Amino acid sequence: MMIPIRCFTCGNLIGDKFVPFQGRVKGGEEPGKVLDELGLKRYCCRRMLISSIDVIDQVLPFYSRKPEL
Amino acid sequence: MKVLEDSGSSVALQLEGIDRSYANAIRRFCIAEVPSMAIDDVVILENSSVLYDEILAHRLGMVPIRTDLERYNLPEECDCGNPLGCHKCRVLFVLDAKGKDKVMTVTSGDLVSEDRDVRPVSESIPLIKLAAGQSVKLEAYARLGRGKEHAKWQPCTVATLTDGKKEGVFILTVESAGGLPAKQVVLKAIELLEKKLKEIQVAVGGPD
Repeated sequence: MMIPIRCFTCGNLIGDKFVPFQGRVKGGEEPGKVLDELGLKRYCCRRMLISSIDVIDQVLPFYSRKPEL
Repeated sequence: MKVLEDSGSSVALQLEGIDRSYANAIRRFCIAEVPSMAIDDVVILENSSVLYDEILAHRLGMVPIRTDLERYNLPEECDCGNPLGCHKCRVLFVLDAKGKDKVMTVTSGDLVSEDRDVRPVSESIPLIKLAAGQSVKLEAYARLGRGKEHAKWQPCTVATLTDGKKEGVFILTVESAGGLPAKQVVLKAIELLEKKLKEIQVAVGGPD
C-alpha cells in the first residue's frame, strides 16, 4: 500500500528516501546513481525503493469527501 | 585495537588479542541486548484512513527514534512499578491529522512528542496518506526495548565480524539504525556483556 519504513532485510531506514528517489528518477536521473547518493549501498535496501509502488495513490481518489450536511 | 572508521552512523573496529567467540558475543549484544526506543503501544482514537489500525500501529513501531539511555529506563527495570509506565520509562507521542481538500501525506514530523529530545530520526518518513475528509487521531507510547524482543528495538542494522589480514585479528563493523550513535552501541554492548558475565561469576560463587 505504502513504502515500508525500514528495509525488510537489514532494518535500515528507507521510508524517508522514497519521495526524493521517485522525484529524481521521474526527472530523468539514473536510478542507480540516485540510490548511491541517497546512501543505500546494500542491494537489500536498494530493491526496496526500486520495486515499490504506492498503491494507496490509486485507491485514494475513490475516497472523496462525503458531502457535508 | 584500532578504530578503522567512526562516522557516527557506523563504526569499524579492528580487534586483536581476544577470542573469536568473545568478539562475536559483543556483536550479538549489539543486535539483541542494547536497548533502544520504539513506539510500542498505540491508542487509536480515530482512524478513517484506508490503512487498518494495526498496519498504522506497525508502521509507527518501525519509526527509528532518537534514544537517550541515560534518562530512560527499561520498563521492567524501572522503579515506578506501574504497568502503564512513568515519565522515566515511556514517552508519549500524539498524532492528530485531518485530510484537507487534497491528498496529504502524514509524516513522522507530525508526531508531537512530550520530550523534545526523544523524536523520530527523520521528519520526512511517510506514515499514512489521507484523502479529503479522512482523519487520524492517536496516542502512541514509545519505550525502551531490546532487539531480542522485536527487531524494531534493534539499535543497529548490520553488525558483522570478519577476519582481518592476520590470524587472530577481527574486524567488527556496526551500522546504527539511527537511534544511537554506532560507537555508543558498541560501548553499551561491552558494558552489558560484562554485567552478564559478572552475574554468572556471582551465581557460580566466585568473588564479587
